Amino acid sequence: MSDDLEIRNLHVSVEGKPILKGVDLTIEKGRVHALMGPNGSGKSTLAYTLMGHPLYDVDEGEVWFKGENILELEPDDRAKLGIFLAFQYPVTIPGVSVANFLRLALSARRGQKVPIPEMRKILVEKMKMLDMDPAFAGRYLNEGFSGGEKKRAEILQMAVLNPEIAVLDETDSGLDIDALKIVAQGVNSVMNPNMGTLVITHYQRLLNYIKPDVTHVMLNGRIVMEGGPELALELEEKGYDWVREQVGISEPLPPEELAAEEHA
Amino acid sequence: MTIANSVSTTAGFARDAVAELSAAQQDSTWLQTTRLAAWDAFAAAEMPRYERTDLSKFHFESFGLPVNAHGELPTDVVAAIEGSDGAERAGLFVQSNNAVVHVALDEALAKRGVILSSLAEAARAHPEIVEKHLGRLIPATETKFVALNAAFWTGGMFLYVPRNVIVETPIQVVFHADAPGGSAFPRCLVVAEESAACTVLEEYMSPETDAPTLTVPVTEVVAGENAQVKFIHIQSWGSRVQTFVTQRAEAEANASVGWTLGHIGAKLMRSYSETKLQGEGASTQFLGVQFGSDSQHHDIYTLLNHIAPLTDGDLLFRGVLQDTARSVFEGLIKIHPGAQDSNSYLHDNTLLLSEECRADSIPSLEIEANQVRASHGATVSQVDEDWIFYLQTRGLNRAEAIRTIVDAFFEPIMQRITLEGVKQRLWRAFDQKMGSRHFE
Repeated sequence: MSDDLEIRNLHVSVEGKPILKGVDLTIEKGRVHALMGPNGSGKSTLAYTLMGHPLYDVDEGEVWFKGENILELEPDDRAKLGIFLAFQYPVTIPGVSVANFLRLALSARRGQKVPIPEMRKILVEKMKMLDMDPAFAGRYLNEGFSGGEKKRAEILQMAVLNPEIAVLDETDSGLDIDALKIVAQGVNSVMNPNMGTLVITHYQRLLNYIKPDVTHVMLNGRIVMEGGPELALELEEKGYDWVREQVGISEPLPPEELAAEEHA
Repeated sequence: MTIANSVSTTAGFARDAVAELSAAQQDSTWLQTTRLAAWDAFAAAEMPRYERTDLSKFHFESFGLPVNAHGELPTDVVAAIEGSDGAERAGLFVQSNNAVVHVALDEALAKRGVILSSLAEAARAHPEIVEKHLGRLIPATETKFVALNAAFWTGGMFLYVPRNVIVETPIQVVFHADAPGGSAFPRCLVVAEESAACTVLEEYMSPETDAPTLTVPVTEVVAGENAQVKFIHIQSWGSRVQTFVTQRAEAEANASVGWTLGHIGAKLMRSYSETKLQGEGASTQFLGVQFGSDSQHHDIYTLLNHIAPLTDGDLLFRGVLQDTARSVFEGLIKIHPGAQDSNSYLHDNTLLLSEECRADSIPSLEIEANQVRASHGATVSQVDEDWIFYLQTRGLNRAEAIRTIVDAFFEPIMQRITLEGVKQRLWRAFDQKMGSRHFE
């Protein structure tokens, strides 16, 4: 049994509209996979489908992890298997402090209540690692957070929950360069040989700070190109139209497919 | 603990029954006359009409008279009486059905003139206070329900705090009813004189029974100049109880009255809660929590009544509904012409956990003064599926995710509740309703 997460021939539609049209991708432990592609190519759909968002209907295909087809599991059971999604747009939940929320999540992950002193210790350590103000822990989850703070809160959750597969959905979006560096440093400090990471991004700039081992390019619901770290750089230089030419898709995505993707 | 004794009555609601009950309680002439006048008011009054609570199938004849206590008191009440629950309190008052079964007050406070007793007894022992205040804020003519209470209440809780006396810890009050098919008429009178302070923590409770029960509580709170009264009221009546509640406080100059209301139980509840800001500089705060499950119907009316200048009102209510429960929240800020320079805020939010539950929230303003600040707001919303999904991706199952959202929703209220025991009591009630545990 492989330790990796294997996506096989995944077809997904949203409200009857096909978005993913046969995705094959393996996220390997200890490696950073970059998933790049233009808006509307299906990147976020893949992220949400991996986590089991109810709006995304799987029409065909499987996702294997630890001997299970995780598509049959509830989102929380996927989380308990060690899969984590850092959201592009995390929700704001007033009334739940970051600290309480993390204790709740870690307790759920472990299947038993984490004692408060232990939780405090973990929090202090991880927040220090991510260069976060300890006062952050007492604030309500994402309430009044800046774009950068929201992303950092996502990475803090990742650090505390210590996943085996981490999917970062457009973690760079809406961040200025300083915030981007801080978030990337955070991600790098969490990475370890037992964790496979899928970094979803539209732009190459995040990959200046999080070095990918493999680059996958998604277009029109399929992985159309794969390569090493140099592919990301090449993409930056030549643009997605170059990819379209290479793989023989001449037209950009029709607007309604873009809309379906934006919906996520 | 089994309770016996006290007033027994035979017939249904009737004038004779009032006279018989009054004689058995050894009422003073004043009280006897008051009761009979209340009966006449009851007989003359029309059934109240509530826009969103249908009383067409409600009949007083369906319910018997208040009866003697005969059942077992709930274990937590017994623990409170025995002092084994560890709660800090200045006094304890317990009434079961029509009889007061336990009264205890801190001796030092009693020496300073604080009175905690049955209201019936106080009417005999302290007529100068009781006759001055009982039925003054809530006259029997107010509604048919109030009239019935004024005619038929027995026992009753009376708390008097003299001038400048501060009662630091809560006076705990329990009204317990376990007479299926019967009725109960809890009655409270709290009088805090000038610069006095006290906190009343009361719970109305009943076990699950197989026949409907009627309860009609009436509470009057008088806060003299500069007095501070906190009144915490939790109703956790059983699911066959129909209850009609009337509560009114009066705040004299610079007095403050804080209500904390927890509406958890009963099949049908209509509640009316008001503070009259009677004196300049008086203030009131309402904190309310409501949780409806199964087919419960909670109809809540509140009034921030600004009569004097420079008065402050602040109301924050939050309700959660699940199953086919129904709630109505009607909140009025009324600012009279003389109440210049007053501030008043009212906010009500309801969270719906099912497709079948329903809530109406109707905040309103009646402002007759031109130099005031007042605002109101209300929201009714379904629990957000994106929140649930987000929490699930962090390992919480659906039920835990919803529970977390509910707890977070109540947090702004819980933060303002200073008594830890009250918070615990409310969390416990939600645990029971949701079949999950509050996480802490």
